[in-house]
Amino acid sequence: MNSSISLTSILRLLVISLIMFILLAPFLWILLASFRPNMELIRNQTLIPQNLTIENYISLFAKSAYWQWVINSTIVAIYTVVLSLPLIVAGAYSVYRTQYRGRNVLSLFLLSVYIFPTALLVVPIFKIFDGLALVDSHLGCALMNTAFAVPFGIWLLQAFLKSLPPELEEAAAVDGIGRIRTLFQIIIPQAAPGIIAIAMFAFIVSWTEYLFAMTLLLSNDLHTLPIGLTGIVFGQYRVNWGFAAAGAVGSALPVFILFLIVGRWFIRGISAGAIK
Amino acid sequence: MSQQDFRSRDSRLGLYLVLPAVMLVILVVILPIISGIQISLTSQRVVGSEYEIIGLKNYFDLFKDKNFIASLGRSAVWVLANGLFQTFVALLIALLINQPFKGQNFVRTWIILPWAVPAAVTAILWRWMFDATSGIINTSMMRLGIMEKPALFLANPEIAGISLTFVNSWRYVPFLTIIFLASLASVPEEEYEAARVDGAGAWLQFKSITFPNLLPTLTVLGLVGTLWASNVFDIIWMMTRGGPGVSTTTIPVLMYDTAFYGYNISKASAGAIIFLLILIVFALVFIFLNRKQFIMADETFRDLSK
Repeated sequence: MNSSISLTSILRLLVISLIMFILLAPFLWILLASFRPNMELIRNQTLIPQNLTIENYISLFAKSAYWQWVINSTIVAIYTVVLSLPLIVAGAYSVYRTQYRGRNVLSLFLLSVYIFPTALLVVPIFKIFDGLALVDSHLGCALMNTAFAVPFGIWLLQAFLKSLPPELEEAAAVDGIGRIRTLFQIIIPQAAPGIIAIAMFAFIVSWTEYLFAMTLLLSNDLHTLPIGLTGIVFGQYRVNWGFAAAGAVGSALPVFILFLIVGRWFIRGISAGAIK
Repeated sequence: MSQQDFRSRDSRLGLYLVLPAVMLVILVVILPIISGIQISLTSQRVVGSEYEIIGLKNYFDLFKDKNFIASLGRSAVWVLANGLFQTFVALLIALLINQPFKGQNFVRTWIILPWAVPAAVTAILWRWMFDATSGIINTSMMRLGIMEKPALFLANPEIAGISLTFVNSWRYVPFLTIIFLASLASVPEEEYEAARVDGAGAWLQFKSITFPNLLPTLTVLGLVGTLWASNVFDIIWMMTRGGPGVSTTTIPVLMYDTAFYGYNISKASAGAIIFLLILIVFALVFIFLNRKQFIMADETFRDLSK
């Protein structure tokens, strides 16, 4: 009996390891490739690198606009987080902790954003944003990201909001504290882990966004990382894999650092507070 | 304060709070759709060019266009392969890693990395892994003698779609898994304890506790995940541009290509509207069939102001 249990648990660990290998090994492989000369990558590749070089990173840091792209991506992401957080917190509080007719329909209406065929309607978006002076501006790009981060962000925050006992508001109401003050002084501090997770979600939605940035950011000096990266990598007839690998590592690294610091908060913040 | 009073103030506050989000959605979704409908009824080729109003001609042309119809079919296959398959796999993985094991915290944090990096990184990663002459998959398989010739993962029309589905799933399954994990953590432990006392086996516990508790999450992800899958553009565009030939040209890719490389924004807009209508019908049917879930997922706090 006992040995069969340990057998299944070993099997389970093996499957989990395999899944994690498929998900994470490509990152290690590209990291390794980024330190190898391009010629070695094209010809007769060996698993163990023959020569190590930092020339790919020199090209990336010194000969491309990498730092400009990082700054631009960060600006758009910060705009997105700053715009999204109030909308998500207010929206989630409204939908999941106040009562009014039509809440169900409204929450479904918000989720209907994802029906929107983004690749197909960039033309009208461009026209509308042009009229609002939001073309070729980081703010315009962030506004699009916000619109697509908010609906799912509201839904993501529900578990955490629902796990807070309704007595919080009831006690505040008995003490004569208004709902707005209750929201700011009681609910928001209690929901901090959820809000951190939502901020990460909005940040990543913005950091990974490609289509709106490509359409709305016309000037080269406004380009974000994904746009810059695709430009240098796929713009050429023959891909320089060493350089591409360095670019990929350089684009993934900021997210990696973010996860190193606050990664374990993400799942905690979108569940009902049960994960330690 | 009378109860009636409290409730009506509550409802006004609720509406005010959600209003900014609703207005943003109207600005970036509803207005472009209206504008898209207007463009689709004209003969406009590029933004700012002259045009005439030609009514539904673009729509009729599209229905006669074999490539458009074929792309609709490819989109349907893509949505089935990605939307459904991803949700299912993510649920399985979540169940697998929900029970404690050594390294669980590491897995919970880092499993999500593929979702958190830009699609451009994903495209580089997998174009490089799939490369015929220097990609790790082909070189190692050939060295091990499993294959004689390299597999053209992205250049063979018969497998390019499968390769893209794999890459897209590699990207989204981790995110869906994390959401399922969060949802699993919210299932009250007491329910399992009670079931164990009653002698319920693993399958019965899953059927009578885990699954019903997951149902609201499953329903929302079923809807949103399908919509996300149907509108995937970046990965396909960066990896194959819809090729080889038209083998991976789904509707978003075809319409983007029509608008910006075929210089025909009115025809592309008409295609967008047709696709949108199909998605709306799908969403309405889905919501209607699962209406209980959508209401239940939302009514937990109905008693708050009583």
